[in-house]
Amino acid sequence: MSPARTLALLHFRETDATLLPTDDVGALHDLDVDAGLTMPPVAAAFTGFGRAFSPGFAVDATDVVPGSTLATRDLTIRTLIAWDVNGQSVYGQPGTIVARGKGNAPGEFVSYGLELRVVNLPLGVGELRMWWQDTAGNVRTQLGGQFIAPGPDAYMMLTAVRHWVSSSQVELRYYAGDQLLADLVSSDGDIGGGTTGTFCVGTRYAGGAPSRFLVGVIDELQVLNYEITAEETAATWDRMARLQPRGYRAIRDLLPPRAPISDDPGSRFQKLLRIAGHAVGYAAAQAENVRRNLLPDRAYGPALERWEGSIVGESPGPADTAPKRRKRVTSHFSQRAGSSMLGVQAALAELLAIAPSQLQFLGFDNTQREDWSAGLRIERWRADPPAQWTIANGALRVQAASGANLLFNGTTRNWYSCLLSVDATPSWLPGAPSCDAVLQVTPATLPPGAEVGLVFWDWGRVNGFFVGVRNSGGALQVASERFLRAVSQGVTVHATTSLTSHWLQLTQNTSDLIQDPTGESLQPHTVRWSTTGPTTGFSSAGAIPFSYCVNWIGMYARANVTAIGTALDASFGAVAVRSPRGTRPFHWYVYRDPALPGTPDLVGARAALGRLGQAFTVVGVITSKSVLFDDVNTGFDSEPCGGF
Amino acid sequence: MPAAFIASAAVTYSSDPTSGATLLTALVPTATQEGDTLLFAVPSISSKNGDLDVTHLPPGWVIVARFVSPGSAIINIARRTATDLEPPAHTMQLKSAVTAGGALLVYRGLDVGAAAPLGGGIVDVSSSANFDCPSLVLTSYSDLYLGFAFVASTSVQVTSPAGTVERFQAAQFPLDIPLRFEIFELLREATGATGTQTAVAAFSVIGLAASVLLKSTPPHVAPSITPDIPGALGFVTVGV
Repeated sequence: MSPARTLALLHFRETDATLLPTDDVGALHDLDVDAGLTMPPVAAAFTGFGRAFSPGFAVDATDVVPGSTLATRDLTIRTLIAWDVNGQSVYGQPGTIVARGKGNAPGEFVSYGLELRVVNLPLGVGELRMWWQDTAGNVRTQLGGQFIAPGPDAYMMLTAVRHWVSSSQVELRYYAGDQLLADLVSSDGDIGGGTTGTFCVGTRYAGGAPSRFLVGVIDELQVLNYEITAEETAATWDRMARLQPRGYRAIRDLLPPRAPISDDPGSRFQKLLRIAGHAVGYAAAQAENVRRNLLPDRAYGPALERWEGSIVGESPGPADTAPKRRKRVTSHFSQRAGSSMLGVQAALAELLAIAPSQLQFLGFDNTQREDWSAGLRIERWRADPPAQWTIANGALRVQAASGANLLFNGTTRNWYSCLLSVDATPSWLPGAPSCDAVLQVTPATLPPGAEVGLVFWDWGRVNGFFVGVRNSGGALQVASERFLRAVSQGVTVHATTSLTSHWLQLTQNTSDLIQDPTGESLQPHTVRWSTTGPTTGFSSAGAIPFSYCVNWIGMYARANVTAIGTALDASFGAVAVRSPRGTRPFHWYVYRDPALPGTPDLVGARAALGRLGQAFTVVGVITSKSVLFDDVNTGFDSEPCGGF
Repeated sequence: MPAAFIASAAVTYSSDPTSGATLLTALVPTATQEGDTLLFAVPSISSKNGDLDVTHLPPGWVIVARFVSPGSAIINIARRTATDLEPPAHTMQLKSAVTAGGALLVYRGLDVGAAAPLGGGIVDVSSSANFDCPSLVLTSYSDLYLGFAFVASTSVQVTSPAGTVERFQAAQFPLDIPLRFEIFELLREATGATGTQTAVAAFSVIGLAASVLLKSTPPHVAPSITPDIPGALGFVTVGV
């Protein structure tokens, strides 16, 4: 984004037509006339002198440094002008105020143009409208703002603002004085223009020939490379129309009555008083501007940047509008209800462009439940090998072909697993203590040596606690086996069973800590199993020592042979895993449904929510309930480092 | 300001679970701002079943135009002023299950205080390629003429009249029957009769043609200064 600056400022203050108009900021060479055109004569104007434009009278200039007046994005053009609407109507064409480029070649494509059009002469209605050429040279004339023109001797301050959002969206605003004429949206975001373009005032060129001459007096013309706000426009108009004349009157009123000085406004003395009065008015305007526009709901320019940067820590994007930036800042100061649902709704609804009631709050407890109705969610479950785990008939299904190697003996771990990560506080714990898990498993075919069931697993230290249904030489058993540091602590057969549904539960009993000769810290666990239902018919075996912390809990299929004799096929129903010291309750999210209309300010909303969330929580504004990388809705991979 | 078109949205169809009446739902375009005028146009060739059910009109909506043709075709136009917390979608209910078109238009600069519509009309189209939208008399240079061409029996491309700007055209499938709905605008910037505005279908079809006239917000006199003598501080590069 280019720094905000004035691209050109033409005061037309030269007192004689033989003096070429100059650009006060020095971006343009002195303005001159093309062959066949005539220098517009000097005319008395609001600020002193101006130039009277009419058919055949126009000026142009090139940039001192090529490209210094080029603008293909945000732009403001404003002019003090006395427009002769009758003369323009007689002429029969719209009148060009400015056109940056002559339009006949890519280097001369018009990056901005502003013209006045007579809409209805009897009513005196005119229209101020912008136009430009796209990168292919096509003229893109925009809808304008209409107004009733005052008399030809009256000076208007006309302002046209272009805010570029994207290659398919441009916002346009037109003002007369402090009045907003129109606030429009255009799809013509493809804007051409070249560095060598000519800055034309009072005419535009078509096919190399000048046309669309302006009929009126241009007092001043300013082009800025940024979007000025309605507040700034109103403040400028307030200075010129109210405060400067008031300053002059104040100076005059200070003079003693019947002082021996001329009352003639054109006298030299009164002119000196006018200068002093306008200086007073200018100072008053700056103070008035601060008074009105310092606070963040109306701030613009450097003041708004300070609110954003130094005070609330926001970083606006290049396409962000001033109202959008203000909303972000004010949302920080309007957080009256704190980190409550109502408070978050009030702070975020406007930023997210939906009604407060449409925001969804997502919170969590320490039990993770899965019924597989949403499929095998890879953001939650780590299935290995992925191809062996599928969803069928509303359950998780694991399959292994005849001859497959599912050997798991501690040192060899060719098992099939589908595991859920569990964690805990404080963060220095090596895993999650005090876990409890229950699941349903139904083996359809279970070859000799194979086993399916529930596992507590510590990958780093190779501690595992398996509770499952196994085929031991043709006899089906409920059995458990523990591994500490990859060494089996022996198989325990709890019951004989059959190919039917089993509900298996593994619970850590938080009582005494047991030091094991392997160096592991253990605690007693209890195994429960039932073939009746999830809440009835359980048998149990307790006081089984195992590691007090684990990292993963889930389903498995394994074997104690290197090749199973026939195919394995088992299904897992609903599963619940509880890690009571987990961190899930400390995460909460505000979900904004991306299907709802509106343009949410996600960056601003995330910053606002970041300030609302308690320090011990992790919060976020999301537009997807599934967290995956390479997905625009998750907030991951966001710019500047990511691709979204 | 003159009426400025902002966006349009097509409708999706569903049925009221109780009565079975056709429901038309349109999402509010994202460019909609507070104060914009939403126009919901619903044509049908059955004035009995395709009429808007006023007892189920969503909050904030008023029917500003309702024309019935001699052949019992109908068009309803409902209006609403957008709020700062505009609902994401609006649903209109018809009186029964029926084939009907629908579109949501968003305009800025329409005069919601003026009588609406200033005029309008509807004609039956009986197996013709020409959809003759009735002529209306513009009383103000900024009056907005909207023309509607509704192809009721099949989906066939419609071309808007010369000098007008197409604002909406879509194939629609209520009750799985293909239809097409075309809306165009005419901003003549002059008073007097517009003349018949004929939209042309690719081949002869049946349907309806209609038009309405809406009033724009009148422009204001531009603030100005007439100096007694020259001399003032104009634009500056520091301060306002």
